[in-house]
Amino acid sequence: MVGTSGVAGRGGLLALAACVGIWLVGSGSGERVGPPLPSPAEALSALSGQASYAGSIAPLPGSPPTRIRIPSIRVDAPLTGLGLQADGSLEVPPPGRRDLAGWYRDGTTPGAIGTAVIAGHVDHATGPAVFYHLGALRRGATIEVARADGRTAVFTVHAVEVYDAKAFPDSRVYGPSPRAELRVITCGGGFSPRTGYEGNVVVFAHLTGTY
Amino acid sequence: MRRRTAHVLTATALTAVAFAGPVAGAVAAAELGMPGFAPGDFAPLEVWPKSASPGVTVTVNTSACGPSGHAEGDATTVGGGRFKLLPGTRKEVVTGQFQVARDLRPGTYDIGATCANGKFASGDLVVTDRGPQGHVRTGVGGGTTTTTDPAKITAGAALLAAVAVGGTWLLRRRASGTRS
Repeated sequence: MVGTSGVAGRGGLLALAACVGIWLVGSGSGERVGPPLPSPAEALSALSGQASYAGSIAPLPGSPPTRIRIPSIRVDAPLTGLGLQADGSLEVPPPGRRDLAGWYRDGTTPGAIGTAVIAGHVDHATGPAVFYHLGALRRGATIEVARADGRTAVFTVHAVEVYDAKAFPDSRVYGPSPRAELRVITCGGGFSPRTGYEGNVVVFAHLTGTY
Repeated sequence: MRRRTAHVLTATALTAVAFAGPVAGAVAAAELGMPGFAPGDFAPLEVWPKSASPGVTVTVNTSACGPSGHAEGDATTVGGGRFKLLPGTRKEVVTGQFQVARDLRPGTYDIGATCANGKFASGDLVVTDRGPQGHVRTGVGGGTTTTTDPAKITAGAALLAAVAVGGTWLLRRRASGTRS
């Protein structure tokens, strides 16, 4: 009786060891590491919108932005103007410079009332780019945008979302706003070597200070 | 409708004044009940965004009004009504906002502002139904890496080998009928 249970115990132990061995070989031989993705806790909600309305402050006049700074993910990048492509999608900064981001130059200037849009690459052919860590941003994080008039607009993040490219919510991301808001966009949401990134990480922020 | 007509009339009068010269300008201004002004009083009105979709809020600024001045803006051409321009972040610049009507047709519209000192500023607002749409192609995958961890593979292989040896030994003992 004791012998039988001993044999069964040893069998179980061997099975467990086999599973661990298979897992070690499997995970060691092909782990895809990509840019960080926001947790569902950072998603846009009715509550995050309401709470942030209370903190709205006087908007700035129009003036083109020159730099974006996001201290919590160590971003400090110059901004170039972006237009629209033939299909209506936003242009992207030239791929040669990995530290450059862009703003939609025909749209609202950051700090003025409305929805200003800033976009940048998550990576280039050879490695990470300016907004690689954008998906790691959390609610409450600070984004500063310096402008040509010498003023700086300070925004506070109220949501970080991931959207599938096939179901991109245009009005939520680009639509008009009655207060000064900012969207910061990069690629994300899973990567397939065949089709590329599956969507975009979009950071929603609103004006909470100026200096 | 009445407002729009009034604006067009004002604009026409101002244009006529600009061509007629300072004397006629003063006369015309007096007739219109406006402060006198000279042709050089037309100043630029900065309009942001450069191209607005229907429904968006537009911010305008001008330095025409002088230090601590103020102005009345006219955005009736785009359904934005009249609005106040007040000193903003810099005292010599007045700034104000209005909203573009949601059902406005694309085109170029004139936005005007009359300062308290009598100066007039105007600028063009381009209304377009073309704004950004869809996702943004901001990555090619160079930031994703497929890593291999030789230490993990070696450890896993060693464990599997041990399992094979142990399993064989266990089966042999059972087959030979040995009991401990």
